[in-house]
Amino acid sequence: MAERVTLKIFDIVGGPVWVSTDDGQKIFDKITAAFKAGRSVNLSFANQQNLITAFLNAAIGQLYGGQYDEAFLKERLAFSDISEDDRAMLERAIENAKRYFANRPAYDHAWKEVVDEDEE
Amino acid sequence: MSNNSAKASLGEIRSNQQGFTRLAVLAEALNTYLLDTVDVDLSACTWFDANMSAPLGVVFAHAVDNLNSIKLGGLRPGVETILAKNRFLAGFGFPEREDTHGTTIPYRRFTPTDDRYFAAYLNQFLRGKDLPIMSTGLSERFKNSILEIFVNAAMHSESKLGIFACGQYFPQQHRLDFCVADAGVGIRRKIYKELGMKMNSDKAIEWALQEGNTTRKGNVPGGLGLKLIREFITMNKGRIQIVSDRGYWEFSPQGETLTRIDTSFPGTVINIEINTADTSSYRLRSESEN
Repeated sequence: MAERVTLKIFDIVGGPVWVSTDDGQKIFDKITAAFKAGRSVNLSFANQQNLITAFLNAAIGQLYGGQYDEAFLKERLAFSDISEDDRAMLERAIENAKRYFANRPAYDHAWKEVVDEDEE
Repeated sequence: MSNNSAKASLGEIRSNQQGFTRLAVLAEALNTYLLDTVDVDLSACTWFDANMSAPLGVVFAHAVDNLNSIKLGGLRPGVETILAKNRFLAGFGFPEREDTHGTTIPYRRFTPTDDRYFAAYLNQFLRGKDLPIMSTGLSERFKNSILEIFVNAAMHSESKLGIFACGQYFPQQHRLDFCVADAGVGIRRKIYKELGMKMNSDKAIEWALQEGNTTRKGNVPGGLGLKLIREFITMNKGRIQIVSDRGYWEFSPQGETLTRIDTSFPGTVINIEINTADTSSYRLRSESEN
């Protein structure tokens, strides 16, 4: 079992407002660095004031882009100090990410076929 | 160029297609001026929904960016009161007025990197003393929706002139409107620039609303924020409008409208309106619970 390291979002972002993709990217970078070092991660949501999906998409969603498989993430990534509402939002972000990465080529292709004339 | 009688005017502005169209027409009129002092006559403006100060801010910011000065005239007392209370007029030489009823979320202009200031602004003003007492769930979902819209604008709009925000509570109608407007490239041009797909403005809004669609490059999934906002607005029986370039989309219990307005708005606006009398539970559920 890989040794677990606790990462506090509050400390990494430097405050309780967790909304931007750039801040989400900081979390993603720390998680992947810990994985690279052979550690498991406990991600702490303590002291959250604002949290939205734009942040979660970058912090967590992009972990599902193919670099890690689901079984690995299930085993190596845990969440703590998280409210029921925030957990529901996190689950929606993960579900969205899985669907997004599974369908990305199809999304692009479907729209290329319905594009109509340009206004200018 | 310099013109001694540079003039423009504005009629009644409500949060509807006609209101947005009038602002687009004003933008087009102002766009003909450079290095002028433009008198904007508001005598025909008998009503102004305060939240629409955000897109009006975009219109004036473009004019000022063209080195013009804007002079507002003919304001009716009621309209002047509305726009003074929400601080919009502060930049035009009018005195500020106390928002005694506490129904205003003041007009502010942010830069795209101001996400933390923007969150602090919402945290402060959405718990205004006289704003309606909303359930925590409703208030949180509303705040999160506005934050998603701001972050989206910051990330995609390429607005060099900033992001403009304003809200207003209309107690008699039990509605709270909040508007976020940017002075950026618009959804249609952004899609073309990033993905090479040419489409009309209305189609571009439709594209942006589709699950999974994003102009974001790299490995960050997108397309969830607007989906959650739409779910929330549906549950609340509220309303959401998006105006971008010539595209106009509105979604409410009365139905969905996607159309093109005659004149291009110089940016993108999202207005969300919630029904504050609603007492539903706003627990966000995971998809498996839905």
